[in-house]
Amino acid sequence: MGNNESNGEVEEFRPKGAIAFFIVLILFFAVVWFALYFELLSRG
Amino acid sequence: MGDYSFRFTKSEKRLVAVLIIIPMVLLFIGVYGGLMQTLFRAGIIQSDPFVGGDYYKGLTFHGVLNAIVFTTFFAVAFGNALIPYSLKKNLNVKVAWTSGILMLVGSVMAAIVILIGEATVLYTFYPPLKAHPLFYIGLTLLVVGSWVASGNWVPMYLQWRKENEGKKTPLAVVGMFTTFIVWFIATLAVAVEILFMLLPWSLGWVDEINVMLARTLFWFFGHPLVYFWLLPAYVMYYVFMPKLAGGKLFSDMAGRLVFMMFIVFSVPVGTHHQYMDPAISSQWKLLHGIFTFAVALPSLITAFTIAASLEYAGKLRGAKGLFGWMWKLPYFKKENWFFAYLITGLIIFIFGGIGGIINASYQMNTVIHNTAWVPGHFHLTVAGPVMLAFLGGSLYLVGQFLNKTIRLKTWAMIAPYIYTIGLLIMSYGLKIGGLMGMPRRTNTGASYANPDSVLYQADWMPYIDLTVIGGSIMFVGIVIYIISFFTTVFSKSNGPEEDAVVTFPISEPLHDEPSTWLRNFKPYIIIAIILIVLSYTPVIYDVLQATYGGSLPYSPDSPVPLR
Repeated sequence: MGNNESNGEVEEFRPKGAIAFFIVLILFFAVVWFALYFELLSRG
Repeated sequence: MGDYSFRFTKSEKRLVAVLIIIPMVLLFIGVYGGLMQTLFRAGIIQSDPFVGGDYYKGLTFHGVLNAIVFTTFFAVAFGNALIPYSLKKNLNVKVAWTSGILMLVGSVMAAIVILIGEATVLYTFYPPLKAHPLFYIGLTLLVVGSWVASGNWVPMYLQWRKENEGKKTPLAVVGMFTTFIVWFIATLAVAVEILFMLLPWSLGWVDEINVMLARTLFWFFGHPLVYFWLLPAYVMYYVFMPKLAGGKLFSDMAGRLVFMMFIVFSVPVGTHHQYMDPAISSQWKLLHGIFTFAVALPSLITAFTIAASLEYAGKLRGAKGLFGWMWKLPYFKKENWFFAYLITGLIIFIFGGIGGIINASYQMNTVIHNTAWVPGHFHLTVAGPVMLAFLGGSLYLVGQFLNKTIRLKTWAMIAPYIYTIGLLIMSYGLKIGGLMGMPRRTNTGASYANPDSVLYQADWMPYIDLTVIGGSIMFVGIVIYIISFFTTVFSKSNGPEEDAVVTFPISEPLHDEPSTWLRNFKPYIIIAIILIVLSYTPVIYDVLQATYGGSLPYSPDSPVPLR
């Protein structure tokens, strides 16, 4: 990998916050999607 | 990578400025039309107090000027700025000006016929609604002009590749070429629709039109159009935003992969707009629905990559914990006003994204189809991340290309936040109203929101009121932006125009992967063509088999044909 990482701070960076954000995002999407899905079911 | 300056010629600078400033005037007319839409639908007005005409005329100029004209001009101007800058090569100005003039003439022509009430066909220009031929000719010139502009970049790029063998194409260039590859493929269908169907029908050379075929060709174009809008915003997210946040792009490869995925999946998706249409078999609609889910993937990759880039920027500013980085970003720094346009767009896109997935879910589409939910959704995409990125980009471009300092920076910085608050309120009203059954593209003010009408729906009124409140706040946000924009345009220049150099905030990658498999557009274009042929051949076949006869032209004013 042609990496630009040149200092310790960059080497150590792991996007844990972005992963957590992404999981929350997917959960939010699931909640909204299922809310509409149950709305569909409720209409028979 | 990183910041550097490039000296554009005087002619190039003027062209970019013209392509930004004139459409900005048209945009403002369209935004005014949007405000009037909310007032019409609430029953507050029955005819436009300034432009004249009814709800449908207003809806047409709001949609056409904002969603088609402004966006196309911005994409071309942005490409004319970013591609020469990234490749360090000047434009062929004769070709560039020719394209600009074609686009301007076409847009003004279309705008005039709409404003005089001769093209009340909404932005989808579905037949059997018929417009004046000059409307279709105007749109054709706009599209042809954009083709000429993008064609002008190809020799520059090929020359750059010759001179830089083995080097990766700058990510900004990949993004802008992706934008126009998607646009070119998509507009081929609408060119066929306009030149071989709508125009001869509008001119009276043929009596009837095949409505289903026209709708299918429109949506071949209409959904990739959404990515044509979004992709320049994605270029700004990947190329500018990490730098504006004070960090780096987490992964260069992610950006390249996202752009190639858009080439592959943008087009074979259009039939998800036609789930409720007759003539097309359900299995092909389902196939388009599946591809629509596939085209959500690059947006999800973008959500993660940009979040990681922003987290990195936040960590450099000392953020701690899982979400501490969110509080360390430069949301309210007036010197960094551009960041505000990009971050607000991303926040809005969280809501726009899930709305799109719901719309594409075949069965669930029945819940929201043709309701106010749909404009509630697409205002969270085209009027959210797209509009805000383009407004921020426009202000940045005029500052750079006219060699002016941005004026009223606090106003420029605060405008996207005000606009976002209004947009979220308005879209909430439209979406909940839509779930209750409130129709889209209907002057509810004359019926469902009119207490004197037998159709009056009292329980919809709080949501209709929310759209008025939200729409008014959005309008205030745009007015604040426009004041900052034109104050900058008419302010004193920083020095002689020819001496000025242009700079863009180009982000460096944190991970600069070789990504050799993402360096060539060709395989992805070939895959795209294969998917388009596979997904659209049966759809077109179904439409041609199932549709008998055609339709005479109509206007929204009368159930009687125009001839």
